[in-house]
Amino acid sequence: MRWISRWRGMLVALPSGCALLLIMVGAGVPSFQEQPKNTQQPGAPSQTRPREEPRPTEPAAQNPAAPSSGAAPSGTGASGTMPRPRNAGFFVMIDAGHGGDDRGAQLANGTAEKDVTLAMARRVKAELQDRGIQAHLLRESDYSLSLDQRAEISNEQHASVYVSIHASPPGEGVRIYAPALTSPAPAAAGRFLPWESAQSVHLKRSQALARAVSTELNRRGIPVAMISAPLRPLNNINAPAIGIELVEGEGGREITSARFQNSVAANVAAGIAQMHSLMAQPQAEGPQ
Amino acid sequence: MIPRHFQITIALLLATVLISGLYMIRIMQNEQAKTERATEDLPVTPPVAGRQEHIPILVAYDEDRALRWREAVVFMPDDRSLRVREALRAVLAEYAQVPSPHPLGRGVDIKDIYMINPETVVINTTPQFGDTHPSSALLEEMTLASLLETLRVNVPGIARVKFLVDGKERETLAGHIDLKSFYSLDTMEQMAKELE
Repeated sequence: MRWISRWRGMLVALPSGCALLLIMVGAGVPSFQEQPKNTQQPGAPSQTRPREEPRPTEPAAQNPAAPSSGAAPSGTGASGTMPRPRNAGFFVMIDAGHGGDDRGAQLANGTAEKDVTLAMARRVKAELQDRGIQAHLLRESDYSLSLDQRAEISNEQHASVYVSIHASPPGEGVRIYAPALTSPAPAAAGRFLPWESAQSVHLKRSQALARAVSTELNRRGIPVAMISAPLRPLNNINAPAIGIELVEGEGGREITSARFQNSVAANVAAGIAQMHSLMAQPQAEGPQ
Repeated sequence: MIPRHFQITIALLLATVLISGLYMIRIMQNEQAKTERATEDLPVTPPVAGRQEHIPILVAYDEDRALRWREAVVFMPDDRSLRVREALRAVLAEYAQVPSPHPLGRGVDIKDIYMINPETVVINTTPQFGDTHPSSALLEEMTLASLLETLRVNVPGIARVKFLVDGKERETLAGHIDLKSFYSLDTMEQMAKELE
């Protein structure tokens, strides 16, 4: 009798267990299958910029002085991250340095320069948009772009201002780089300029922009140094261009802090806004 | 019961062993450091023949992020391409010291000097020049400014300079400053003055 009662228990438990197992497998398998399809390595080698993406609908050329009503905040929306079509008015191209395989400088606590530059670029973009100035990120996530590609995209989109962002030791505060040609610019042949000195027609405006941003940062008590240097790809840009380098201080605490980055971003945006009237003036003809 | 004098003797012996061990470790560390320094100073090419000269060299100091002129005593040959090499090596020798005012990594050296014409020089460096250089716009600019200014002052007549790394063009020195273009020494003089 004992045997019969045991077998009876097994007869009830076995089908119930099987049914439960089938339900779990049926519900669980599809969700596991879906995930790997779109998974991508963050540091995929030489991944090019997704330029074939459908261009999001954007408002027509907007008056830069007018506040951008309903603009996507801090680069979260797709419309905020794509470059504008050609000749679409004044806009700032923000280039987060490095990316993908190119990690840039190794900062404190193992942070890569490419991550700090992207975070900072997003903050600068948000600050500019808050001031009614159109801004676009040249690198929207973690992928590689050559220096020539960066200049090419910026020139192709006819950026009004180009800002390259970097981060590295040693020192403190921020360093602002104004472009400096490595050799005197040759005379322009008609509408064309050599690639190496495309910046030559914008040097004065670039220096004025660097000074304006430095003044704004100084006003807020942020240590700032202005340097002329052949920082790539500033000399290839056919627009006023500056480089902004966040400097890792002692212990490397400040450079990754949101408070520091927000403060620098706000003052960089204020400097660009201050110079906007000068930069919006008609520019000299550059390379095509 | 162990006698007291025996306990004291054992304690002294143990202390002696401990102190001797620590002293040996210290000696080994010093010898290792000396060997590393000696390796850095090893010449990769035979020394040049020439007069011993006191030449001005512009040295980068990372600590205060500035360039300062110093004097170096080097053998300067009459041949212009060799003078270029020796002047640049005098600067690199400063950076190879331990501790270094501006560390560039081991093995950084000048491989070849090509005089394209009396005014134009192409400098071929070892791969370490680009591979081990710290990635920082300021440090990269300081390296180039110190080398080019030293060249301008010590080998008059040279107007344009280009760098190669292991025989190849390189876009940037270490991710920031242009290494692909020809540098005009007059232009570089103005940039270097900002950092002095």
